[in-house]
Amino acid sequence: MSSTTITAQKLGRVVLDIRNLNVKFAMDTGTVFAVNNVNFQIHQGETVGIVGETGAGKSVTAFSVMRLLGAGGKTTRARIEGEIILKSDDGRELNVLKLDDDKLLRIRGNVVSMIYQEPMTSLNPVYTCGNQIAEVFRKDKTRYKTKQEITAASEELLDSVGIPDPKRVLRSYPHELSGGMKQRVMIAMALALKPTLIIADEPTTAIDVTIQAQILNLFQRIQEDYGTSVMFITHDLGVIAQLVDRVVVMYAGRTVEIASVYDLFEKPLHPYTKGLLKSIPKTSRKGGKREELEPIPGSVPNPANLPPGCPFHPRCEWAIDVCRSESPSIEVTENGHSVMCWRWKELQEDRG
Amino acid sequence: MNEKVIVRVQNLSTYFKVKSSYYSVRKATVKAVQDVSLSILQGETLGLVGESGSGKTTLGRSIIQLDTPSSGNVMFRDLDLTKLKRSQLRNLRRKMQIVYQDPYSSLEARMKVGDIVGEGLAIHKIGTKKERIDRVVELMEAVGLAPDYIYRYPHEFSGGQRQRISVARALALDPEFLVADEPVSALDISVQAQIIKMLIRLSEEYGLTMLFISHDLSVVQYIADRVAVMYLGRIMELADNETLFNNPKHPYTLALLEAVPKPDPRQRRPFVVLPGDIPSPLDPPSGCVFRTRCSRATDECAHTVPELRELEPGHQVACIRV
Repeated sequence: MSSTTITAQKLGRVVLDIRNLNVKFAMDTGTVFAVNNVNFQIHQGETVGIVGETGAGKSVTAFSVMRLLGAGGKTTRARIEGEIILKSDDGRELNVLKLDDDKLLRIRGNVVSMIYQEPMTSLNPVYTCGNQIAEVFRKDKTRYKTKQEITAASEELLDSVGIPDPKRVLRSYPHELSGGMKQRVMIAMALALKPTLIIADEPTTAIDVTIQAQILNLFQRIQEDYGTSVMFITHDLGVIAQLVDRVVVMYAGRTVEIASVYDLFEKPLHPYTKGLLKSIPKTSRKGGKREELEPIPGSVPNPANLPPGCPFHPRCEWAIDVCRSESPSIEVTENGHSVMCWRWKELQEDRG
Repeated sequence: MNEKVIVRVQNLSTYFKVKSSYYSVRKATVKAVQDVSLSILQGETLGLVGESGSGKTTLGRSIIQLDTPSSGNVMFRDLDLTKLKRSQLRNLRRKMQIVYQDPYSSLEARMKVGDIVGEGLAIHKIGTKKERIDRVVELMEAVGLAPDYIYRYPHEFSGGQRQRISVARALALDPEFLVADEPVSALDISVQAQIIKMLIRLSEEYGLTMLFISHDLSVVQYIADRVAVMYLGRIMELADNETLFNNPKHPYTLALLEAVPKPDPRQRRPFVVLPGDIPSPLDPPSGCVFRTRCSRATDECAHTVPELRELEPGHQVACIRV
C-alpha cells in the first residue's frame, strides 16, 4: 500500500453512494434523530473507516445500507429518507431503499454483506457453522449445485480466512469455538459470494488485542487479495490509522469531517476530531513525565434531545453565538476534505 | 516516592471448582491465579495487563479478599489478610476499595446516588447523618459531579458519570488501597480520557496506592508507575513503566505490544500475528503456559515452569530463554 495521500483521481469507481440519508426513530418519548443528512461515497477497493462514539449513528448508517431497519416504517419505527445507491460493474444503479424483498435478498451476501460486532450473538447457536456457511452458498444456485461443491467451497473459504482444520470447524456449533474463531467464521460468511462491499460493524471491539491483530491482519489480506470495498466501523483510532484509506467522523448522527486518513491525523479540521485525537493516551513518556491528556469536556448528547445549532457546541471551546443557533453546513476543501463547522477556516488560520 | 511496601502478595493461587461439562458430575479446577508474588509500594499505581482469561480480575479480587485464595498470603501492612476473621476483615475493608468495570451493573438501581456514595459511611457508622451528607457532597465535587445529583438515581446518568459515582463511593472511606478493575474500558474515548485524568488527580490528592487492571496497554502506559503482565494466571514480566514499554524482554510482552495498533497512519505496517488463542485455564499447558503460542519455545519450555527472576533490579521476567 502506498503511503502517499490518496487523491480523487486515484480512486476507483463509486460502489456505494449515500445521499442525504436521514434516519429517525419514533419513540414513546419523542423522535430520535439517529442519522442526519449523511452523504458519503465508497469507491472500488477502498476501505472507509467510520469513527465516532456511542450514539453517533455509525451502526444505524450501516444497518440502513443493509436495509435492516425496515423501510417506510413498515416493520419498525424507523423512518429512512434519502438514497442509498449501489453501483454495479456495468454502471447499473440500485437504490437499496426502494428494492422489494426479493431483490433485497438477492443483493445481500452477493453485493453487500455485513460482519456484526458480536460474533457470539450473531451466529445461530442451533446450527453448525458448516450449515450456516452453506446457507450463503446456496444463494448462488448457478455456481454451487451439489452438497459436495458447497462443502468443498466452505472448506476452501475457511482455509482462506486462516482457520486451521476447516473440516472440524464446519462440524462445530458456534459455542464450541473461541471468540476469534467465531469472528473468522462471520468474516468467511461475508466473503463467501465475493461481494463488492463488506460492512464491518466494530468487528474487533469485543476481542483481545492479540486476536484483534489476527483479525486486522485478515482484513489487510482481504484488501489485497479480493479488492473488496470495506466500510469499517470502529471507535478505535489506532485501528483507523492502520487499516483505512478514508475516514468519516460521525457525531450526533452527522458526518462532521471526512478526509483521507493522513489528512485526518495530520490536519484535522473539526474541533471534535482534534479533541478525539488529543484524548488518545500518548504512548511516549518524555523524561518520565506524562504528556498531558486533553479530554473533551462533557459527554455525547442524547440523540432524542440534540442541542440546537451545531450539536457539538456544548463541548466545543471555540463555540460562538452562531454555533448555538444555526447548524453549520458541510464545506469541502480543494483536496476533498470535508468539514461541518462554522469556524474551521479561522481556526486553521489561527494555527498557521 | 518512598519505597514502603503496602501490599505484599506471596505465592498466591486462586482456584475455582467448576463442572467439567454441563452434564457432568465430575469437577474440574480452573487455575485462575497461580503462584503469584508481587509487592505494591505505598503511593504507586501498579498496572496489571493481560488478555481476557489471564486472571487479572481474579488476582485483584483475591488481594482484597473478594475471592478467597486457595493458597498463599496477602500482607496488607503487617496483617495477613488470608488469616483474618470476617469481622476483622470487614473493618479493614474501609482501607481497601474497588471500582468495577461495568458502570451499568455496579450501581444499585434502586438506591439514590447519595445513598450509594454514602453507604460505606453508614455501614461503618462514621459521623452523624448530617456529617455523612456533607462528606458525600464533598466527594461528589471531588469527582466532578454537581452536589444536587445525590437525589437522583443511577439510570439518569451516562456511563462516564456513573463511573465517577463509583469512584466517589470507593473514596468515601478514605481508603489506602484501591483496585481499579478496567474502570475506563466501557467508556467512550473522550470520556475515558476524563476519567483517567481524574483518577491520576485523585490518587495524588488522596495519596492512594492503586492496582490498575486493564487490557488496554496505552491506558496502562499512561497511568501506571510499574506494570505487571499476566498470562493464564501467571505473571510473565514485571518492570517499571519505562523499562516494560521500551525494553520488554518476555516474548509475550513483546507480542502484546506489537499487537496494539499505533494511532499514526505514517507508521503503518502489517499486523504481526501471535498464532492461536489463549488456552483454557481448565487445562493449561505444562511448563511455561505461554509456550504453545511462543515462537521461541523449545522442548525444555514444556518441562520447566519458568521462575519469575530478576534480570536487573526491579525488572522480573518469567522465561528461561531470556
